[in-house]
Amino acid sequence: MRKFISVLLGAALAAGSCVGLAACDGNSATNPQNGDVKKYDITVWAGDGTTTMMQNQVEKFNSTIGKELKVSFNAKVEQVSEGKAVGDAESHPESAADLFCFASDTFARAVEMNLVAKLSPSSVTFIDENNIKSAADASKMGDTYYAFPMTADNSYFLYYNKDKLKDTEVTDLETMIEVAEKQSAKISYNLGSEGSWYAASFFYGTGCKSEWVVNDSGKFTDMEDDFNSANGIKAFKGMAKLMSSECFNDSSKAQDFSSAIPSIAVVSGVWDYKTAKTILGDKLGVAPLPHFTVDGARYQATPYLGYKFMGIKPQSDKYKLLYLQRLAQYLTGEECQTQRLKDLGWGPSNLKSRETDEAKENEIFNVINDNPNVVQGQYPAKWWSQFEVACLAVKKGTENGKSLDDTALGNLLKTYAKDLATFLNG
Amino acid sequence: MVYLSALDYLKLNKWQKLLYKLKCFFVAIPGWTANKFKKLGQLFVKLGLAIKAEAIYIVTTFIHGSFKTKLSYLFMGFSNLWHKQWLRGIMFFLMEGLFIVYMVLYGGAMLAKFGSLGDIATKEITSLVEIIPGEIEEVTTVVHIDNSFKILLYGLITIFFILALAVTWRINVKQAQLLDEIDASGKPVKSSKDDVKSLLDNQFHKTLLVLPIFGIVMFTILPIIFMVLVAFTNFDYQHDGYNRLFDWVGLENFSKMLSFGNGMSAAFGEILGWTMIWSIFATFSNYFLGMFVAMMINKKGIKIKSVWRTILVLTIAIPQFISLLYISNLFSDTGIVNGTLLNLGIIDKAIPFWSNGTLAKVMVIVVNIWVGIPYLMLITTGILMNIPDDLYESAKIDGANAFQQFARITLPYMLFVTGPYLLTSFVSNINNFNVIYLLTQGGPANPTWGNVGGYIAGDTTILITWLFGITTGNEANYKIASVIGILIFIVCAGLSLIVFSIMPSTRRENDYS
Repeated sequence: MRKFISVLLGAALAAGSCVGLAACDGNSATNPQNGDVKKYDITVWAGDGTTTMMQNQVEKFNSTIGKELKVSFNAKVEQVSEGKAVGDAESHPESAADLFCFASDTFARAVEMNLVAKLSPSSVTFIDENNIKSAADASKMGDTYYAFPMTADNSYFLYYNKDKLKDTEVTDLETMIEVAEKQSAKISYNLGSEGSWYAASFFYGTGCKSEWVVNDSGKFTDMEDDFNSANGIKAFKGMAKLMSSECFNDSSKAQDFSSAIPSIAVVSGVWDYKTAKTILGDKLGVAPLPHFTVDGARYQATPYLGYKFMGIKPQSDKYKLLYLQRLAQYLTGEECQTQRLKDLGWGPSNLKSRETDEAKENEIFNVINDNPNVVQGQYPAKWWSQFEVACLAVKKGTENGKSLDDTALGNLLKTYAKDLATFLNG
Repeated sequence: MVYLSALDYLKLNKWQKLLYKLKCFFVAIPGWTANKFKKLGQLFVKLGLAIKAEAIYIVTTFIHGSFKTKLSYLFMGFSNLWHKQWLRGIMFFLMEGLFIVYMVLYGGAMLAKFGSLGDIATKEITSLVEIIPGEIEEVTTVVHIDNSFKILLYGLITIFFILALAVTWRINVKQAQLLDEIDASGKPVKSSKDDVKSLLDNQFHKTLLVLPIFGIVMFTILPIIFMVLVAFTNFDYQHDGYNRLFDWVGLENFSKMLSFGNGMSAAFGEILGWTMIWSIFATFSNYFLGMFVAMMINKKGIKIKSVWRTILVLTIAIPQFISLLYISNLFSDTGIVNGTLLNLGIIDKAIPFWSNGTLAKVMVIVVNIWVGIPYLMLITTGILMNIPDDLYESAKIDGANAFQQFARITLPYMLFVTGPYLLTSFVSNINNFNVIYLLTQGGPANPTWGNVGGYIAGDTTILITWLFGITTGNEANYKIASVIGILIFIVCAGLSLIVFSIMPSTRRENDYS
């Protein structure tokens, strides 16, 4: 009996030791042996409708640059839209993709939450030498680079139905409203629910600014925001003109062109071009955002110009991190950006891609580049939601023929400013 | 207060009776509360005595036990193995071994950090790498150290494991003591074969229950406790637990939610109020209208009854989320209904079915009636058919009209049989996410409540859709969502207990049997 027990105890101790020793191995990186091709299984998140192209581009890398570097990526490409990528990575940071494409307005958050890796000097040089300055500047937080610019077209403009609106009528919001009301039609401009991104165009149009200072780790340290001003009230009055009209549709979807009560104009971006074209065909017109007149002065709504970036998830394997940077350089380089321009109509940030005939002849790209815009900086999530609260209050205050006077609009902006100051001061 | 005799009570009119009942209710509250506290105190005393008895048992068993029993205190199952009860002995031994291995490798560390939920999230390491000969690059890698989420989860699992081991150890001590008694009496001990036979025969219920109990503990009780604990942390989008650790904050989240004068508590009050109104309307409108439709169809003289039933049941045949999304689009500001009415010249501007708060509330209740009536019609049809005809016949002879027959026979019978269903239906309507979310997403957004978790609640937002919005908004706030979850539980459990205790189905169980 004793012998049996001692054997049993010995076996248990041995098993425990084995497991313990195995656990001591850790997660150390190994240097690839000379001559061997280093293989990595990676996950890539690509935007809607771009997964096949991304898969092919990774394979192209493997067969060209990868061969030279003796590295091969077995990529699993999943569809995650650029607007959602950072949120998804934040929800499941451990299972986030190694490479992911994201919109520039989520950049600070990605850095703050350690979702993107710091880039090496060669990547910094690559970004600076190959992209327009504003895109290169936008890819760093403080002085540290975190992301590779992929596009420079993340903006919005006016799609309109040429049968219902003349070219001369889309220049002014008041005229558009008049035409739409006569036709019992709609104008889609997402200024209320989740519409901060679009509503800001009225404020930038009247000369307001909202700039936030972010440190190297993505934390917001200061702001310069004058939305709470006389110009801000003018912007709200411009918005209220549309919001109080029967033709207002709080949406920015090209599908609105085919609704039962159709829109004759939709404010949206490049991502809606195919849908709008499918619905309207040759009747589709593209124009910059309209002007609006408040207190006798005429202002043009001025949209954001943002970027799409490619980021790398922080890695514990230093070799893998460096190889992933080489892959990202290729995927955001001239060849891939030009291909995206040709196949998807995405406006490039790459200097050489922007000089191609496709870029010069691209109607949308020209509308974005030839008209005033505000390069989109970094804003905390709180800014988007507090601004949305103020815009929704204007929407609610102007529905059913109601109106808000300057004092009421000013009070909304005061509350907005107060909430943001509270947020900033912790 | 002077209590009336049964005879005096019967002499009162309807309103006096009601007043008397209310008086009795309020007078009884202090006594009832005191009684509950007294019972709670007695419970603590009982618990203390039980712990004391356990301690005495453990010590005396050790003192008076044989060396096998004494060793069993340290090596679980020793006494069983000594007596060749291999199965029991190995099970005890494995449990102890598994516990030690788990604690050494994982559980100990997790439990040690349970109080702080971790100290360092990540560490950056800058090193030089050469992937192309001659080109040396500086690379910054990140190593993750603590993970608050895992510490909380595995810490909790470890506490469960410790409790399970304590119970097993106690059984092991009892077994050792029994074996000592058997040794003293000279009787034979049960072999492993006997144990297996017993587990497959007279103890078979225990064998069957092992897996379900394990499943309930791991997949129901553990997640619930985990979610409750989250309410006492600062787990949100800025403290995800992986890249930014979260920490214990005590009752701070409850204080934010329930204190007067801030936007969150105002929103909570308004949303709770609408949730209750919604649940009452959604439950009782469906109930009475479903019953009414069933009675209409069952009425003598109604032809092609099966056709009427089939038409109504068709709404069940289509998956609810499809019909709800369809309805949502149909009645949108630019949808087919508004478009058609405008084109026909019936209206000159679109009706804001979903964008006007009051209208949206009416709409969700009406649409819920449309999707809910067929279920109630089917349920009540069967019950209505079971009400004995002679009850109605005697009522007719007594001169009762149709309404009196309904109020005195049909309704009491229905309420008796469907009482528990009515209660569960009410609770499930409090949590009826589908109808609200698919129709309005909780909108139209109401900016007066500000934003919580990056989500601006709307006029039709109920607690459960608010909770969803808060956890999926761009400022995801899991801690507040957890508080809301706990409050929903308190509301549902409280209502269920009260209603269940006054329900005729439970109070007068034999009346209709």
